[in-house]
Amino acid sequence: MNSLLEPVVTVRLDTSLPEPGQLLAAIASPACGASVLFAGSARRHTGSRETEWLEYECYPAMALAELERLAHHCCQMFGAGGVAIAHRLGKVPAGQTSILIAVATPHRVAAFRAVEWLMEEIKARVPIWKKDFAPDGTGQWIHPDLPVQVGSRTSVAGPREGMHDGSEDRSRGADREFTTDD
Amino acid sequence: MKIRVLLFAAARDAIGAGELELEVPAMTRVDELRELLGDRYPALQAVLPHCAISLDCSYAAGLTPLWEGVEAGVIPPVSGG
Repeated sequence: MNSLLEPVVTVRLDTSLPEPGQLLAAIASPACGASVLFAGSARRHTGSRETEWLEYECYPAMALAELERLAHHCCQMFGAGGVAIAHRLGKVPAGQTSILIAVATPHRVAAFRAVEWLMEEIKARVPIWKKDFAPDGTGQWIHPDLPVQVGSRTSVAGPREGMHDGSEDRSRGADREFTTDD
Repeated sequence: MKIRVLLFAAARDAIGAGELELEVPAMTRVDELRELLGDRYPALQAVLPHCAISLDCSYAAGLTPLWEGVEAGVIPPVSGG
């Protein structure tokens, strides 16, 4: 429970995500008539690219600082009484959730807009990166502004390691497409 | 002066190290750090122009001077979410 005078802000980076209901409970307030919860998941297909799993890493201290700054900014801009953000790190298989965002505001329009704004800002400036792994085990960093040959492409240990059958030459990622939610 | 440089994702993979200790002249600017890194680690040159630089966990513009003991981050284009 909280009042609009003291917004509740909670951010978390971990290898697991809390239950969505925990985020909603954390930001609940009698002053807020609307709570919007967003869940972004690892999508299997992006254009011609197939994703088996994603691996997320971050710059922990800076990512937490940026998330907290965005959450507080969100409270000021949208009048939110509560903001909760949880981002998953490490391996996220296709179909599983990678990020949860919950915002509570007095009226619903602000909550919808706040969640959209937060998601865009997170994608643009919070130092978190994902590596996209195909079913054959080849992986590539997704760096939206880099030409495709710059992102490293590696193979995980396994029976196919060291084999060069041309499959790694597929054009995967490093464009403006994202593998989650949008 | 001594500074610490952290590298992430494709930048780290390019040189095979996520952390460097560097000795740089006093008042070295962010742009000069970029040049220095590119000269010392040619494998970084492809990715470096696309990277942002942070100083003690805040994004820093090119003319910002570094300070003793600062933690500089080499931040490739982010892809969270």
